[in-house]
Amino acid sequence: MKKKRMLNMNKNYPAFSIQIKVFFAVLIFVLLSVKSAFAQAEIAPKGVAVFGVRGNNAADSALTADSVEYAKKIFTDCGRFIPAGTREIEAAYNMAAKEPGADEKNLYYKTAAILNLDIYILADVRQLGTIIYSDIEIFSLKNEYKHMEKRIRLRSRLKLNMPLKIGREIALLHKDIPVRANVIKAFGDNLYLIDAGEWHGIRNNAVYKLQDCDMRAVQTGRYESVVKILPVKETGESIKIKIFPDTDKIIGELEEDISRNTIGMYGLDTQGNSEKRLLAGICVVNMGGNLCFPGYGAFLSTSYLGIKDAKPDMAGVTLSATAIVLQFLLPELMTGFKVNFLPWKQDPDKTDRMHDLQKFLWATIPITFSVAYLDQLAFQFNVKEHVPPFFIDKDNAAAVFSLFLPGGGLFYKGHRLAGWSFYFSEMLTAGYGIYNCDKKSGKYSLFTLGAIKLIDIVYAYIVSPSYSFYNLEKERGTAAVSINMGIRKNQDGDNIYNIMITKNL
Amino acid sequence: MLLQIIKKIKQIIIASGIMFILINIFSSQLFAAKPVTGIAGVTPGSLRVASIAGALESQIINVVNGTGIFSIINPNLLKDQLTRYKCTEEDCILAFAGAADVNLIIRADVEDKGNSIIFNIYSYSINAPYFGKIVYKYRAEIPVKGLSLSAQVYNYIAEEHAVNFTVGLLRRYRSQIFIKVNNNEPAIDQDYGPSGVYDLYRYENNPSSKDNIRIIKKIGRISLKKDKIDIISPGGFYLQDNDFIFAAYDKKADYMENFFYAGKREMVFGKKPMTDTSMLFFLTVPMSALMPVIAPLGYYRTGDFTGLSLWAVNSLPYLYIEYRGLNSRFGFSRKREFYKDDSPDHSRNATIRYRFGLYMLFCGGMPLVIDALTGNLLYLASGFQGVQPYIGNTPSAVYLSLISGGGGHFYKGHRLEGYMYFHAHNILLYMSLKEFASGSGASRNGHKKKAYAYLGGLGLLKAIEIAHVLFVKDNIRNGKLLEETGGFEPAVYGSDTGPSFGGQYVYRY
Repeated sequence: MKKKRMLNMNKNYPAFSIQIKVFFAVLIFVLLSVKSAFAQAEIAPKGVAVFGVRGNNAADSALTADSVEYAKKIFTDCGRFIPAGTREIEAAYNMAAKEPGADEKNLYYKTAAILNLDIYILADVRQLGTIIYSDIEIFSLKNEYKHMEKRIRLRSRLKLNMPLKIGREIALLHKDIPVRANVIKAFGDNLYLIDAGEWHGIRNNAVYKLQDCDMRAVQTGRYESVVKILPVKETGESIKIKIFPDTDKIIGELEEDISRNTIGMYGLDTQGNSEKRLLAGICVVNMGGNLCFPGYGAFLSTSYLGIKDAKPDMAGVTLSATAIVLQFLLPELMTGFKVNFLPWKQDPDKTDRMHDLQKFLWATIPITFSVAYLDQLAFQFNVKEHVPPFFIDKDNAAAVFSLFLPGGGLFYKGHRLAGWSFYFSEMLTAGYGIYNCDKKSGKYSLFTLGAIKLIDIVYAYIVSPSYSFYNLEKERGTAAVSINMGIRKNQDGDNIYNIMITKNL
Repeated sequence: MLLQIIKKIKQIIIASGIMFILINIFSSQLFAAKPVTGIAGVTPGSLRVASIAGALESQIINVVNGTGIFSIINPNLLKDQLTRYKCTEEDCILAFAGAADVNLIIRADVEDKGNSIIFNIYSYSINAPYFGKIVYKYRAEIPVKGLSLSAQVYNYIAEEHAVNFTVGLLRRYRSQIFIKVNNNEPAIDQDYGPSGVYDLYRYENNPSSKDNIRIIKKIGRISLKKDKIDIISPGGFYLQDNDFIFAAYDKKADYMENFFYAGKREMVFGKKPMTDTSMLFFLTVPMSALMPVIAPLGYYRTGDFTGLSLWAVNSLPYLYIEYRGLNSRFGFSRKREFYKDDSPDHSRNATIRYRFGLYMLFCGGMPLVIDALTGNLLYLASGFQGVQPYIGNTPSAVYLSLISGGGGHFYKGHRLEGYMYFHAHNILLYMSLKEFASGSGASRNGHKKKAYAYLGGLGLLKAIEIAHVLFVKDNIRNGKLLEETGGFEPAVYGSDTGPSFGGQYVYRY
């Protein structure tokens, strides 16, 4: 009956002829429980166990379980310590628990010792208020890994990010760790079987450096390899193979994932159109807004990006309005209101250089409008906790903004003061250069403008964003003391500027 | 204690493996000639991608089974066995496969990245020359932004990636086929005899057959024709029992790839009438003339900001020449260059720019308009969003390549090649225009010769470009291949006398 049901289950697959000899081979295999002649029938020796400390509630336990699974994935990606499976850990833990007088932490140690691991990790993840904290402790059971022992505290506001941040710390732990393998068997002719293979990064026929000699991988398997080493090695002897994991690539991918999750959480709510809206905002909406209300129009245009219940930053509005008015009135102020206000009319009081300066000032009014807009946006992004559009590629985006707008990339990354500094520096040097373009000083000024522009672009590219909510997700947990600055709102909607100092205890 | 645990685990795995073999035997699943293949399931990274993970799993089963090369063991039974014994880690699955005599194991997972999904598909082989190593790892990112994703679209996408993976696997996988020698009569251990010329391999005696990993040595070359084995290596050698060859499946891979591409092309392009090309012909001048407006708006409309940036950087020098050239003759601004400076050099430069400007105005801007307008259509086509208009017409691609630089490649979705041809075409054209306008008197002939040389170069470039555009496939491949690894280096084997090098290679992106 059972056989019939199985056949029915398989009816979608082609039926094949039975080979009697295989059947007998299997029978012998069953009866004698002989070690399989097939390759890779052995379970690979394990190097690490990740224990999740039981949380106070189901949510914390789920968070911990996710983090444990992710930590195992990163150990696999790094290829140094094979993570023990759930089943093995459970069996060893139950065995350790049977011994009397063991507290929880001691139990983990005993479990790791039973499994003969190299290192083990305790992960404790829990949520306190809006912040998720994670304490990671790394313990070593072997002397050669003692340097890895440490305690790391991490924090995040996103559940999705915590496993990634733990993964990043684990990847960092692997930096500069060579492969340590044991000689399992000696075949003669300088051929040895070692317990490291493709999983650890060993490739067929490649030559690797050991401490005192070379080793050639003659044939690799997934977890084992047959290698040729000229000096005689004993079975059980440990060898150190100088191959190092590509942690930079792994960390780079994790950083990208952390950014993606953070942007997903703090991105603008514009149905995926935020990039288009930012460009339309700069080129069209903000231009109109500033023409109607110089300075304040920049604030009004921020709502086009879906920022709700915004309040203007009046310091920024005043500064930008002043800059706009100054651009219109500077030639008048310089000549005691003698020259014609309009740049396309040149009267006898308006010298050629004054005329050129006036044309420059009027032509760069859209630039000031755009800078005013970016300044208001930077304020709103900080207060309302949003990241700007294009933030997944923030460094390139900042460099492009700085290329077209003075200080644009710095406003984009939230550094308003630096943005304004670059704006005024570039506008002053450009204006002075145009006013004195036939003099040496004017040429020097234009040269200085080029240098400042270059610094502006490079600085915008390399500087970290100032958004505290974003930096919280990107921060590492190794710093004993960390300082954070930010702006948030209280219940009445007023801005609270805060500086936090945190210390790992 | 540790030994007890390991022993217990071994027992479980061996028992489950054995049970599995028995199930397969009793259900008539074993097929000695074909590599026995197990598909260990697709793990979804989140609830959102659970349905596409299911679709991917069934498509991998269908496609791998459809090759006719592998003997697939019942996936439901395999999953049931692995789950029952909590055997979900890689090493455990490999141990299980080793105990159950499964030759090839395929497993996959699906990552959720918000605006995109990542498929990771791994294949391992237990037999020589892999000994548990990864044969092929396929990792592709599938953008889902702006696509309407029904269950049918998920299935199409999953099928495409299952095909891509299988094609990659077949290009790398080598199946070990043994030679049996009975009474000095060699025979190939295969129900159907492969034919062709093969390298013959033999296991070294040390490590021996009792060990997990063996060393393989190349013995020579043999020719197989309908079970007839001929030794073709100079000097000859004796065939021994259990010598083996590695069978390759490259032709099958090529066939599958082309078959799927043709099917998808028909599905997303439909049949395109010649009127499309004639419409393109009549629209060439207005579209090219309005390129500085149409192209950025096209990129902006579809949110292709990479395209917009590339357009700005690449078109700027030519637009500048076009503006100055046309301005010198027609005088849009008050400073009419043509009359401002009457020196012969200036007049000649203005003439070159003017002529080049006319080319840019009438058809030179067309490739960039095409890039801006077809990019999104190709994206929708790659994501199985119904039949897309205007694209997928070969005469249109040839016409665009003929009249301008890189138009056909942009039309088929190959931006890099498109820009390369665009610049090469424009530079050669500009140089020939320059030489035609240069020199007077005695030096005139020299410049003319140079001009014809540049024109000849342009003609050659056009011939290459058109041949290339006919050869190249439309870029309707779904997703982006992130990582491709080939774990197999079949032609390089070590032995006591040193490594033996063959002519095959493994490529890695």
